[in-house]
Amino acid sequence: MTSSDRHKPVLVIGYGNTIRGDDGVGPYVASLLAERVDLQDVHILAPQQLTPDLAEQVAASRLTILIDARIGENPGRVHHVVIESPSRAAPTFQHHITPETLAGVTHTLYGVTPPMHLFTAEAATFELQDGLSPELLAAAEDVAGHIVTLLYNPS
Amino acid sequence: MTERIVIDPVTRIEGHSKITIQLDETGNVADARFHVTQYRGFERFCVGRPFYEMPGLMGRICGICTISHMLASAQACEAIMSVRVMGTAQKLRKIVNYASLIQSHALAFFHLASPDFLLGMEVDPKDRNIFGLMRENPEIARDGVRLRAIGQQIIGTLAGKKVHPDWIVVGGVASPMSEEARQEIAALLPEAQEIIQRTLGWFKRTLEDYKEEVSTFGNFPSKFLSLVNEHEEVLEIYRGRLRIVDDHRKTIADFHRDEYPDFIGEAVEPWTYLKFPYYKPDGYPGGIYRVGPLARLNVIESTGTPMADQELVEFRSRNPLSSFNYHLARLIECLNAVESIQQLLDDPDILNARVRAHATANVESGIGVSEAPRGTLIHHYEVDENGLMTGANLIVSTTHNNLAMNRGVLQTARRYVDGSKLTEGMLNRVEAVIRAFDPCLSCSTHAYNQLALHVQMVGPDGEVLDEVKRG
Repeated sequence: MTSSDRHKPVLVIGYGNTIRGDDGVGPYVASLLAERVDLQDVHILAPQQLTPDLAEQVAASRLTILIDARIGENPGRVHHVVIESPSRAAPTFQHHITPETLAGVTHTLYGVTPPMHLFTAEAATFELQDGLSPELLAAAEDVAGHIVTLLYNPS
Repeated sequence: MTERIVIDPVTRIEGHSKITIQLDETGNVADARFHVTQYRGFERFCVGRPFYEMPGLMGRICGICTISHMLASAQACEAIMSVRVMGTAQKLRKIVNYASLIQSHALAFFHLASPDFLLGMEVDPKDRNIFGLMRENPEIARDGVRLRAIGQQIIGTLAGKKVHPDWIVVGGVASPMSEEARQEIAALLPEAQEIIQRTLGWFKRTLEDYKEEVSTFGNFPSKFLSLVNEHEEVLEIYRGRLRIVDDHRKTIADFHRDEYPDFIGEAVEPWTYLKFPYYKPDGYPGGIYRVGPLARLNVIESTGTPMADQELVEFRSRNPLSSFNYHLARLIECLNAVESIQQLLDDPDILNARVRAHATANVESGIGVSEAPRGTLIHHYEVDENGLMTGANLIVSTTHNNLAMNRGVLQTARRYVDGSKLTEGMLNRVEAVIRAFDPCLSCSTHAYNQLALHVQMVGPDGEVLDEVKRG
């Protein structure tokens, strides 16, 4: 990280559809973080999906953190990966793009790739309903805690 | 012997879908169907809830067309309240709907469709995507990112949040526009206009290389539906009257939104969850019509703004029936949107502080209509004496185009699909005709690690003869 990078904000993107059950875990974690972190240094977004225009904001950040639901057999299990090489980005996309594609678009268009962390929680349901399952409510607290640690105690 | 080629799901469109191409004994295409395999139940989901919750709830149907859903929903609720929304609020709503149209069209044109034009239909899909686009022409890719960001920024400046703003409320909007916001939005418009005009120039030159696609991609006679201004033959994206024209652009129906059930029927088929709206006087499936950018430009006489009108004159010299021309129509609508936003910002009434009317439920049903990026959007609500929802009917833009999309897929498959081999070029052309409509099947989840593309060729006994998976 260069000295100029230190002045860039952290970008947090918690994405998903809040009326599709656990798909809303990303926006829910975003809302938790909005109450727990210094918003002068951290920009928090809660879109329904990732789109290419977010590359501008990713490129302008010193660290980007993504939060999403994922398909899995163990509701509430949290996964944390660092999006590594942009060259692994998915080659096709719909109206939404994947985290790897977002990293790739950012790198290719703007020549920078800030560290990008992806937190995902295995969902219990994607059915049409308000609110998260009990497993995902617990997972959301877990993810928020991990992110606060990442922000303020990165070691 | 019959075989089926299955393309499942279609890449670079929203939601879950697949295409089935039915071959006859000689390997020729006998039929083609565009299936939507994911059920959505918003009409049931809203029953029992207070009607005034609907704009916020319905906006969550889609992360791309949020604004248009909220506007149609708010209108339906205002009809239930029997209130008239203040003029300033109507104008502010138009600004965000134009901005929504810009961000959506930018996504559809630059990031979904342009890799096909710039790189060619025969190119390997590993290269024929946004990364190929960025490698071959990074300026176009950056323009796409920037134009969508401008649309989103206008929404964010005016409505507070870029996605799912709670600023559009029943009775108007939650807060007036500040002078600071007016200046911020105005400052974004010259860059947007420059991007659109640069892209129009490039794309019109590119179209010369796609004459065959123009003649085969969903090129068939149909009717066209869109809103028009109440008092003029001008493009309208919010309220107005509904108009249907024939394939010669002659008006055959002109009606108030409350009369839509008299003109639009809805059929269902067992092989898809997507309904099939049709023009009632022609019956089903004969009553095929199209909505969206191509339809809007075919219905109107003027866009209402000077630069877009110049483009409309040139557009008239092209084939008005080819769905391939949806792409050009999107760019012209973007230009019109930028000009229209500027006109609205220049209106001295735009800073008026009175932007919301208040009332409770006064009648038992209400209908709202807006023009979403993909076409006409109808919300029809029923409530009980306490204002609780008892029923809803939504006809979303992609649904209106269902008959036309199926017709387009069949036409393209007959031209390009050779049953003896499964080439990327022919499969992509079938997909590309769907992408021309830019369907938004939305309401889907977007969870990490979902499969992007699964292509199967299936024999008469169910045996998988060929299969392609893309991550």
